[in-house]
Amino acid sequence: MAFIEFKNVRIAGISTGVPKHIEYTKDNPNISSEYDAVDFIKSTGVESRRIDDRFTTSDLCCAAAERLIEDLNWNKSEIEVLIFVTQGPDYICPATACIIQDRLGLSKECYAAELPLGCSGWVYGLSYAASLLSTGNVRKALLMAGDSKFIMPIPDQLSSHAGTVTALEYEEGNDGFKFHFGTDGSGWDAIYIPDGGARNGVTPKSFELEEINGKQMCRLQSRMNGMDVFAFAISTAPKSIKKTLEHYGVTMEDIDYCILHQANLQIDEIIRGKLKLPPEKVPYSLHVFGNTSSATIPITINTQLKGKIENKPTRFICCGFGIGLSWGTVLFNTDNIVLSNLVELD
Amino acid sequence: MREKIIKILTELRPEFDFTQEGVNFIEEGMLDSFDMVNLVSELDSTYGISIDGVDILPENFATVDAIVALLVKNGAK
Repeated sequence: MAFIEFKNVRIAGISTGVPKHIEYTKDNPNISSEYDAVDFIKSTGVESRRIDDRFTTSDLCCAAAERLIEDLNWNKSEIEVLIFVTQGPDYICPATACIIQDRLGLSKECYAAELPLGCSGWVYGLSYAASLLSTGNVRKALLMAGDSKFIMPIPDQLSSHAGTVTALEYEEGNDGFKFHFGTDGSGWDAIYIPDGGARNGVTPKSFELEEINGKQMCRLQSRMNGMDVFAFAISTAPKSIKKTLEHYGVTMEDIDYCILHQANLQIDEIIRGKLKLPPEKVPYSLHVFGNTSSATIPITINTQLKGKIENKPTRFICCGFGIGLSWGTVLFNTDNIVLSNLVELD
Repeated sequence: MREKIIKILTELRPEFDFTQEGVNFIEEGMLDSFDMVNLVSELDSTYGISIDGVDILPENFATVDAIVALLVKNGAK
């Protein structure tokens, strides 16, 4: 059982960077040959997305980081940990985290590392940062999480671009974070990009189109076995949340908000139903930001709870689940959290 | 129960005839994973049940009889 707890660390603030360009689902004539925009929105919940291939995830995260550092009145020289969670690094190598350290002007005495996870990535990244901070040897960390453009565009109408920054700091006596993690690598090919890695490099064949689930795609584009992912999501996420609550002796009544990875509205609603949670405890951001991979949990807290929780002790349970197959659930409290205004890049 | 299931399926994909006997809805491409998400959501709310993720298998949605069996297994009356 992968239950892990780190004390003496808190979230100081969250910020989000997105492209300014908004793509409205209702204006897209090519949703699917079988569904119109109304049906698509009803099922997925995605009314609009932020898409702009001029920006990489690191561009979005760096812009969000500058805003958050200013809002927190942090000195950049104090930031000793940088964790970057993305599946879309700037280059195959080196790690984009190293580039970001220099770009943001952080101290060279900085632990910078990268985590190539998707939907579960923010929860895993949080555990990396929290484990380091809980020692007290380092005091301030930035966790960046998000995805934007990949080597080739993802041919779906759910994915959206965002880069989030979660600022964490050491705080003696803070209850910290209580995690539950899980992995089922037997489902590695439920969502994957076949070519472009060391297993199958890029060859002329990588660009040839083939029909996958009724769509013309090449081998550098992400493909998904929807049925497998759906079954995984609605069985694993509720179980992980229930296990976490039970293990740490917390009840759902103690929780103010349950933030789910913004996979798809119907999937999340099925999960909410299994947990018997009222709608007001499960906010959504996917109607305006789509599925932003590892950014969905922080973007939901940042944009949907801004103005509601900053100065009020608030207890969260958050669950990320998806590609890998990988999942993680975390329990934590916030108080005096800074939620920055949305940063839009144009 | 059969009539209600056929009504739900027809509302999801009105272009197909779900009353045909001996047709596999999955193999014939009448339902895809997108439909499956909507179908499970609709069945959950209609019958006040919570279909288990381990039951999300193509064969459990292949025919009306299979869907009836799935619902009964998950507590639908």
